Amino acid sequence: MSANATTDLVPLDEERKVVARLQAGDRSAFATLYGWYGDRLFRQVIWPRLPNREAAEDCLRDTFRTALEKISSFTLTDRSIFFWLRRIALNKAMDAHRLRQRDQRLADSVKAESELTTNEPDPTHAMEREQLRRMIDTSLTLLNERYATALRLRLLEDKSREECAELLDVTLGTFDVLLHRAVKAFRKVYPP
Amino acid sequence: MKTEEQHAAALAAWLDGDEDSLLEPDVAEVLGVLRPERLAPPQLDLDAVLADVRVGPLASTVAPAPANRPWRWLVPLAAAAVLVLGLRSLELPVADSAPAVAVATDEPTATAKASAPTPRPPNDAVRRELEARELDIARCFLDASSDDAALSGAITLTWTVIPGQPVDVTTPQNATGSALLNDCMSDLMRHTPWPDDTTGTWTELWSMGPALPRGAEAAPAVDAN
Repeated sequence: MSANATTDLVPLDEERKVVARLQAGDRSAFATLYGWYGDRLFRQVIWPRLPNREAAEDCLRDTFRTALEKISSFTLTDRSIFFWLRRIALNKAMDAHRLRQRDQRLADSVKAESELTTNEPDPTHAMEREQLRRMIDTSLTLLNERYATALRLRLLEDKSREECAELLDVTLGTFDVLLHRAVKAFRKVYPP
Repeated sequence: MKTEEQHAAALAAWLDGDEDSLLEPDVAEVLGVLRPERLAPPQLDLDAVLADVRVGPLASTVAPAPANRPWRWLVPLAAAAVLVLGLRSLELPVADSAPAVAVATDEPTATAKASAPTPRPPNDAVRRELEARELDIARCFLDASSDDAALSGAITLTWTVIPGQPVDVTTPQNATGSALLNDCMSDLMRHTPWPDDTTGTWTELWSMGPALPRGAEAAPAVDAN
């Protein structure tokens, strides 16, 4: 059995069988493919770029619909089908922003990311996380320092409420309100 | 209405593991980004996704409509479209209303073709329906563009609306060369609940390109494979 380049993905031999079943018109194989990568695409690829449940689920649905329509032209070589699905998802996320026309800057940002990944080697799980971390860090720089610190301590470094309150020299109740305001401020600048 | 302190307390409780703590939508969206492991899984109806596949080996097929109620087939298709495409403005035909015009029912499509007048440009009523579907047309274009980043050109559709009968759609011209675009737009014309004052045979040309159609910006530039 050939190992997939990224160890947390399904072995390529398994993927190859499912792709062949899909290309032969076996609709039941879709559930297997979705079970492997649906949740991962949703959490790691789509939600960080479309942080809204309805929009993200629409994007996921469009991603798989397009993938199923194009499955005949897909050739599995030495890279997981996940990366093909990921690229479709990035395109769909960009399309969603365009259709809504609510944030051209974000659409440009997602497009740039999509173009960047077209010719680069497959992004590993670590690279994906690094990209997301950069998006988060960029947004944090747009917040006032106290909000950014509260978010870093509690949500990124996973410190307890008590530790956070002590580090920021405030009471527990004040820290809770500070963090709540920080989260709401973050949403206004994320995605960057 | 909750106070800021109550919302803050709800957030603190959630972060301490209380999954039932009620969060504001924007707060939940941020937590999905920063704590993806606690994001609720997506709710996706896989059968509905499959039902919307239009081309390829997994494309859905449509059963022929009963001869005495030729419009019935629209109901499951339209319902699937509402579920899958998010065409939430699509209205289903009223199931028990009689067709407004009596027509032969043994071969409705052939009858429609035989009696169809010369195609005309859209009247005001048809134009309103088309304008209401600009975003759907844009969606067709964007979907097709993911196959061909340079997709452009003119596509002309001609369709005949007769109350109580399926809409007959033909494509006299498709300079884009995209079968996906043609299928998508033809489906859209078929599934539109055309009102009675749109009865007739209509033709319309759409010029597709990076700045078109209206309602959408440039097409995505990356081939997904």
